Amino acid sequence: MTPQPSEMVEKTGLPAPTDDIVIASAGEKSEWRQGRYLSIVSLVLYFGAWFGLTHSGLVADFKLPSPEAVVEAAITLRSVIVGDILATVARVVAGLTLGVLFGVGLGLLMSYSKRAFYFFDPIVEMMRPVPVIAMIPFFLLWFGINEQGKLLLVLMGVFTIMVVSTVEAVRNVPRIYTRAASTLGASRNQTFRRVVLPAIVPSLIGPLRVAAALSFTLVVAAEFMGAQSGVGYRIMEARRLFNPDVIMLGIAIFGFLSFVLDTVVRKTTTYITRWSERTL
Amino acid sequence: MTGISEAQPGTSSTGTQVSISSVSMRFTAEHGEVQALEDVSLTVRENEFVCLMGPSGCGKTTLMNAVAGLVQPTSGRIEVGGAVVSGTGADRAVVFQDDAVFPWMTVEANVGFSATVRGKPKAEIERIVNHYLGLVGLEQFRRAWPRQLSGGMRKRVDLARGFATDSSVLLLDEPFGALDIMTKEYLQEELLRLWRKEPRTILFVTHDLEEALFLGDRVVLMTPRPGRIEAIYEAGFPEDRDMSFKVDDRFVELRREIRERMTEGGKS
Repeated sequence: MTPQPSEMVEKTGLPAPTDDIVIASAGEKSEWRQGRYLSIVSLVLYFGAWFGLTHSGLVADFKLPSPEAVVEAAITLRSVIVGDILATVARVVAGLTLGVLFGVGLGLLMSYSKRAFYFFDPIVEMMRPVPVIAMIPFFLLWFGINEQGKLLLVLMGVFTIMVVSTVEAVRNVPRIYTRAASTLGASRNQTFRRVVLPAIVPSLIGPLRVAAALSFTLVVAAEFMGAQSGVGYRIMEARRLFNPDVIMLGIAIFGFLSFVLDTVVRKTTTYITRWSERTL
Repeated sequence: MTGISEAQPGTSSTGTQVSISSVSMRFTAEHGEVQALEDVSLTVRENEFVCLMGPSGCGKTTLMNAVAGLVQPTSGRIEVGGAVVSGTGADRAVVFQDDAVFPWMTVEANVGFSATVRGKPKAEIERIVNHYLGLVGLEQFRRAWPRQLSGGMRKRVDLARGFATDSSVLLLDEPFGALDIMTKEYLQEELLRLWRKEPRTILFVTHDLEEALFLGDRVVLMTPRPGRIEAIYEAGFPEDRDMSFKVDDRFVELRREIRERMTEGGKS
């Protein structure tokens, strides 16, 4: 939702830094000069348009709530909303973590052992093209509106992304590294742990960010289908009670939460891959 | 001491380290069979520096990969230290042409990699790392990431990592092929210096005749299609040679001789 201009600037190829400190300040300056200020302009225009539209009388209140109405809703509902946010975040974090663990784990197993690959590949390939949301009726049937169903939904969505990406990432590890490791006396096991594992991390960052964003989508779907708390649940309830301001508040919260999660993922992975060229 | 030698020059008490007997290698490529190596036999003494030299396609890298155990010969056998080669092993470290320094490890972790995977105690790894970093003059870069080093420095890390194994045999596959001439010549001297301090049996693959002559005790000239040994030359130039030796009469003379042989081979 929120664009990341700083990242775009990094990728458009500033000259390779030689001195971290000097470049850091030079980078900030040139980032601003290159048009960073436009991000502020766009935000002002965006909120200005929203404000103008809702106060002009062109759009009815119940179709598009004004910014103040959303802020008011946030203040009125603050105690419930905090609980909703915690419930949603817990589901996202649990589903994402388990999905990544299982997905990367199985991906590694399938890369390590040909037998494991031939055994699991058909199942993964069968699951992969199915939108997990299509499984919701079954989850309702099996788990009702319990947490297991929601967890499983997020887990499955994340899992399929990570398993395929991991297998692919291992395939792309330059052979020279594994060859060098084995001629230096590393066993297959050691080569896998010390060479393949760190080598695939940079190529898993993209899929991980996609999976993190997807887990929010899936949590909303899960909470729509039936829940007693959560931001998605609050939105559905607001729809029933005809409270567009609360719906808008829920949307804003989702935007904020996924921005926070993405930032955490990006900062963490940037630190882990600080050895790589991409962090420069 | 120059010229073609068919027999093993018997020197001192050192024994045979690498023995390649009647090795042939065929590949099935898109356009039919390729005879990469045909009946290649070569014996390398302990702590000898042998250069495999020849144009691309002469099978020199294939031969080296076979000694490394990365590929299996179609026929013939390769022994290292009396044991038949059947796969890669810690007794034969390889330094490749391309950058194979692990980018996710610091310089010291790279140099200590072999000791680490072979389960050496921490203090021993530390000692090995210090020793070899010192030898290649990279102590102050021990905690640097490889991306922070120049190509020549990364190559020195690579060499140190190879020497820091317990390998009695080092296999170097055009290790300086991707470097500029200045760095390359500097590293040639470095490698000689390193090898004299820490003698190993070295098989060095190159297509650069000057490099082969400068580095090797012997230069094995190979010819392509099918890849086989054309001639073996004793170089064995003075131990303390440096770059200036490349214009020495003996050096120039042997280079001319081999060059002529190569040209003849190209015509036939």
